[in-house]
Amino acid sequence: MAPSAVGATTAALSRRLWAERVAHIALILGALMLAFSVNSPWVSAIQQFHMNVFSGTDTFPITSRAPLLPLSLFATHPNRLPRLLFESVMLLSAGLPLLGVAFAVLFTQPLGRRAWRITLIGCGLWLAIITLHVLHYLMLIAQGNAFATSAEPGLTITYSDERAMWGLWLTAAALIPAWAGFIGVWLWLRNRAPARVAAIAPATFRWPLVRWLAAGAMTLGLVLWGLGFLALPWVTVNCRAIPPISLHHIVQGSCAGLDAGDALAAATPFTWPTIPSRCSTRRLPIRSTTMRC
Amino acid sequence: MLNQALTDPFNYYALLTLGALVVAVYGWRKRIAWAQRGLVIVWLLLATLVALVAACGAGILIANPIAVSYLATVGQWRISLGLYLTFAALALLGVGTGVWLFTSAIEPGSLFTGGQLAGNAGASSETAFDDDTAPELAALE
Repeated sequence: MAPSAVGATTAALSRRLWAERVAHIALILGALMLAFSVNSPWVSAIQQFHMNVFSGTDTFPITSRAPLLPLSLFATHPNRLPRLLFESVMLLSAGLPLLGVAFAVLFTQPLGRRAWRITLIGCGLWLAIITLHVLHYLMLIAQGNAFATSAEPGLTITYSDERAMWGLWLTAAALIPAWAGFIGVWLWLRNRAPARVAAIAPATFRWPLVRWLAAGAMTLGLVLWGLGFLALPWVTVNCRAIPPISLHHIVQGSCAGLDAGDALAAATPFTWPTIPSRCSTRRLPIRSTTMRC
Repeated sequence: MLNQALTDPFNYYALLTLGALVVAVYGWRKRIAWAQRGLVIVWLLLATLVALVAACGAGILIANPIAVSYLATVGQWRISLGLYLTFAALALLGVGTGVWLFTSAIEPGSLFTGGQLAGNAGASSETAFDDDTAPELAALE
């Protein structure tokens, strides 16, 4: 082969490797930005309470996220869904924004052909869901319907002056590198599984049984950590038995609890003594046996 | 904006949960790079630090029930199962990670490419390129 042809082929390979890297980095950056921005405030409004019983009105500025799964419907009617199932779905839905990062990391791993395809489709679907979610909220805010008016006997809550917040704009901006990265990965990034499987030598490590036990202890520790840090309350009042899974502050009859997030926020010097949380309706009177945000 | 991000517990949830998933995967891998080991250690330290700060916050909440007056406050606020379980889990994780670090096989590579680099390094005549690049490589030969 002529030297010029070899040079051209090498340059083409080099360009392709560069494109692969840039696409992958864009996808990772976009996914990290989305994981952060989806959990940030998306919309603000002025909340007005009209209390018919006392003929009073009050006004509060509020901010809110935009949950990917509209679970508030079940939250206000807990009897429609078993509570434990509801809490489990809540826990899973809280992890949805992180899926993009998981997909981006998966692309670095040697996968089988089917797993590679499933990862590609999953990543595309995830990005499509986030994109539709952003568009949906932009429409809702434009129409002034991001918050639903609620009315109960003696209490009506309305919202005005709805505005998009930085979380929504950051999400929209993060979608650009995420989509660009995804398309680049789809077009250029190659699965290296065959070469790797052929090349890798069997791993040898000391005391396989001990290592298995250690890996098991790590997994068990992570599950327990998730349960303790994410799902169970850290401080409670009037709870006689083991407190229920909370995911956030709970009120069940006289039993109430605050989670690790509330405790963490209470120790944060920026916000003390008010308790910040992702709950924007903490000033509301407690309406049902289980109240959460 | 930064203040809001720093004080929002949900961002800690997200970051730590993501790290926990990565650590769980690394725990079962046969080969692990030093950078990946470092990530596991950093995650464990960060989770412990956040738990310690939150434990201080729990003490503050118990000492200042007015701050939580929007919930039912008639009664004595107490430390609950979540805090105990979290610290027990962190202790278990500490022991498990220590043993895991001592017994797992080391491989060269970075945080993301540990496995790939090790695989490629072991391939003497074989390459890391897949079928799509085979024609170009054939042309080179």
